Amino acid sequence: MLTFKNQKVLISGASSGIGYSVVYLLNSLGVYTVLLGRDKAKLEKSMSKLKFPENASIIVFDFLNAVSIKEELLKSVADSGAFSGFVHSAGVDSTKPYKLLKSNDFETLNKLNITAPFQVVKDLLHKSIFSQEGGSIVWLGSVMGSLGQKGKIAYTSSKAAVDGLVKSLALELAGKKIRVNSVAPGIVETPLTDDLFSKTTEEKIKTIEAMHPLGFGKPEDVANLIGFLLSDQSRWITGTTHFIDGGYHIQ
Amino acid sequence: MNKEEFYSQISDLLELEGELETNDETLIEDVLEIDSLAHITLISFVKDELGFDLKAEDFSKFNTLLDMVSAIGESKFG
Repeated sequence: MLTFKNQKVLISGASSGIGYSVVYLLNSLGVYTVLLGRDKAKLEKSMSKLKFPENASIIVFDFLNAVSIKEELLKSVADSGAFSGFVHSAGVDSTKPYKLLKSNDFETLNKLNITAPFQVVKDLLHKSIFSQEGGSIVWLGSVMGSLGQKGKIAYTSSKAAVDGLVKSLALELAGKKIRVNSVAPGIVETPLTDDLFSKTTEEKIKTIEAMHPLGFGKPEDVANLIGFLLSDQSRWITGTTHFIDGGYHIQ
Repeated sequence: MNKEEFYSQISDLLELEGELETNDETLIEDVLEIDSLAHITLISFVKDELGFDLKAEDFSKFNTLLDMVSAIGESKFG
């Protein structure tokens, strides 16, 4: 049984997919969750479906346009106490062969995967916002951060950067008892994957599925791992990337 | 971009020169056979240049490049 001592977790990409599964799991286990996303109506709808919606709140935030989230975080602390965790699950698919890639394709992905969430972490770790007893940060990487795939140059390079970031950040934050890890999923059935699959043929989708010995994953599969990495039971795990890909990367 | 420039850019992107001429009558299946990334290349190119969302399943409805142009809308080609 996972335990969460005085936990309050901020989750990005919380309206759907893996982000929402994390919210649902933590909320079910009694953790106060703050749903972060760019669409207020979607966030409210997601929150209304939780087991304990009274133990959750929302912050509307667009990683690609916003600069700072500090004011919103301070208001949340005043309402429901300090944060002890962050899950960065907001994501976007990018599939383009090298001939069509432009520098702004890299910039968009790097902003969403690295620089914007890093600014959120900086704001979050302020001593008036984050628990002084420590906590846990989990970044959503991808198995593509360690492997190559045609059409995925910008995506793989950005996800590889996630794995590098968590190592160094983990070292800087270890003294504060804040752990930093990433998870690296294979193909998980989410709205993002639907977008990816709309660009490819049925035959190729079957080929991709066959590359996952255990088949495609469900958002809950990844949420369970993230839940563990946020829990007290993972207190000695930091700076690592955790594959969860149905066996994709071992071939 | 007019239709001829569109065809020419498809030829450049997929390196069709010397293998396949691109015009109204060019068969889509011949274009897609050239490269395993042809679907994604065409979808991304059409989205970036013409702002039109093609899906992979749309290609099964096209016989020729002209069919694709018609689906995108000839008005988008100057």
